Amino acid sequence: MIRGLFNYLDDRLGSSSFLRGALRKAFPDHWSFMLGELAANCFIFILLSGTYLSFFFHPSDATVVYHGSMRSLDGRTMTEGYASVLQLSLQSKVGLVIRQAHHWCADVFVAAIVVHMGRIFFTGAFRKPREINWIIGLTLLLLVMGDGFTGYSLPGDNLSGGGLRIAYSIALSIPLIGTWLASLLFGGAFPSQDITARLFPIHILFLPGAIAALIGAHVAILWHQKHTQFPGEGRTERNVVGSPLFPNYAIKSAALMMATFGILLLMGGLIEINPVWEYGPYDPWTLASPAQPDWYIGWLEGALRIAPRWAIRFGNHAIAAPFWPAVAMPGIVFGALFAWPFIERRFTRDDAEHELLQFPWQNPGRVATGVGLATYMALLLGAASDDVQARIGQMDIQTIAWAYRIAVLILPFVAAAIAWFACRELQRRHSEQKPNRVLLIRTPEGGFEEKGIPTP
Amino acid sequence: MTIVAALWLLLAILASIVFATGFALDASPQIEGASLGIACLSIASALIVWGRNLMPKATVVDEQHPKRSTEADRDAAAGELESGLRQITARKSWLVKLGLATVSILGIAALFPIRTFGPNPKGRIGTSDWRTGARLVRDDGTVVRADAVEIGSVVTAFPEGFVGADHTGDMASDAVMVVRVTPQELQLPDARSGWAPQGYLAYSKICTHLGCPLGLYRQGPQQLMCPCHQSIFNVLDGGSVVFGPAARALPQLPLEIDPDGNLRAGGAMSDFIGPDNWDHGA
Repeated sequence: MIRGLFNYLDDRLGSSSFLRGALRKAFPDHWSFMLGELAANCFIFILLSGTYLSFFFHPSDATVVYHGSMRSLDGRTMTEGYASVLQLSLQSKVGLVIRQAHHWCADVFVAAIVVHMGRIFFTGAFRKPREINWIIGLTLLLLVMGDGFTGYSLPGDNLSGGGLRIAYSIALSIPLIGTWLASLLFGGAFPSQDITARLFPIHILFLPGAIAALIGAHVAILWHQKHTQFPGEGRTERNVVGSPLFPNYAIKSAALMMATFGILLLMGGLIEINPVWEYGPYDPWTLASPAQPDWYIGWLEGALRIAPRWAIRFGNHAIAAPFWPAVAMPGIVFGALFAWPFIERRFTRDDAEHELLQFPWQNPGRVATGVGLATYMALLLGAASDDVQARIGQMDIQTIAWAYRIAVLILPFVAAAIAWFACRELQRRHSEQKPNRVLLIRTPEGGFEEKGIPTP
Repeated sequence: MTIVAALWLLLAILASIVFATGFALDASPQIEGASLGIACLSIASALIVWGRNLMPKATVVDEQHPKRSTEADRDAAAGELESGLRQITARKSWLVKLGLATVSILGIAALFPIRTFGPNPKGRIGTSDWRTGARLVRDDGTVVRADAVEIGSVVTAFPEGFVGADHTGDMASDAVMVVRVTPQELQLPDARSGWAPQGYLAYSKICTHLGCPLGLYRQGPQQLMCPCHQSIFNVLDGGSVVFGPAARALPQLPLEIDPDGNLRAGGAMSDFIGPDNWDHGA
């Protein structure tokens, strides 16, 4: 039967010559090569769960009076959108599980992308010939973060409305075009009645479509260029060693997909996330406290909290202070990430193609840069909950904010220096170890023969 | 190991049955999520056992090549493009320029509909409906009487006639926080000496940083704090920034107490409302 199907397809598509090689394509076995696949599984899960949610969600800012199972909100005026989220969360079977799994999936999705990106960065996998896929990958990260934020903003609860107001005000802060941009995006001054209807197609059609297209390009390029691999016995710049796609890697891949789905569904059922019925509808003159975004927006939130007050006023105009932490700083960080393969190449003047990965310690400068940036971002993320930390530690909010302000200027450099020296130390140890690594081969006569192993 | 894989699959079947039964019986989200999750994880475990223990290991080696094509292909591809472009542009270079101009003009014309995405923001941002004499009311429309605001308490108020479902947009910028302090503590600038009769003060509730509604009144130090980014404003001296990322004092609403004991606006807001922006510099 398989032969019949293959021949049917091959008569029409000439597919067998492709499949012959494709089914035996080599996939390296290192676990870190599955991080990107984890992200891809999240995308599949988020599309499926999101489609389910879209059957029940009403993307409308029209007001209704609520009479549902949430007694404490009975009689409250709210948007049709928020009422439909309450309905699907509290009265629709499995609705809450799917909604929470969808939200958890967004958080895991971005985390998978970031860790995957870390692996690519620290092992030098972005080097020639793979710079284009580095750029596509970073673009994907931005699109997924954007899709996450639009999703957080859709339900019309108190926190989602508060987040939108901040987004609106950040748009306002952009010099020259800010006020027009904010008005065109939101359909007028905040709060407009159009915003949910506008966010909905962006969240479920435009951004997922762009993400799907770029994942396609990302994987097609990966397929064509083939995988990189860590150095090791039998591995060179001229080959790829690994499990065959079918059956060995395919079964591993299917297991990862089922595990991803399983864990997300478990989280969706057992771990509460974004209980919108507790926040109440969004009345723009109220805000629940403490108010915090999803983790991947946290670094922006933290930057906004601890940034200096650099408002520049001249004549009748002003560049508002939030412009620097919310627009300029992220622009510089992502600009530097996009440019990194080209920056590094300027320093190394390395025009060779690299199919073998580096161990992180082999490039101390890159590791120091990466560790410094990661420390900076982690501190900003920490600053995003400084009010909660102040309450738990019974400290003054000013003290904590100042601690973060100082830490963010110093600790990234300290961490970078430690990383740099650690790499140099590892390099030294590896060069010392070299003569010790030998392979003893027992000859048929009973004697031993020494053979050196190339040190990675 | 075959048995182990089989047991995992049986667990997946069991979990699926639990889910279906739970669904039919309106079980809790916890049971629904856990049974679905365990079903998927059990299948994953079975697949792992299968792949690791029930199949032969295999290693394949693919050849890796430099990505570049042959010199001949590179030359030919670029040559095709160049000669094609030459064929397009060979005659009448002015026609080429006209063609490019046409595309640009159509492109610009096609951008015009963006104008309909939102109104001209001029005069719509930072304004409020506070006028001299307007009575202060709560979000349900009840009038705020002076004796209703005790020292240490805080009331969110709006101008009378601008509350209710039809005025959500107005309420988003009109909201003020009314507090009462002992008059001796006041440190208002001289120009605002009459703005706080008997220690009643009103400030815009919309943070000058990013427009969040100020939620927290710290009674001890007499400060208002924003729940979003923790900007802190001084209640006693006219709303100056004590700490945090806000770069501008809170706009103050002058108050009056009418003969009936109701709070009224004694004038307009002292400044534009909400976050700084390009159109509001001075």
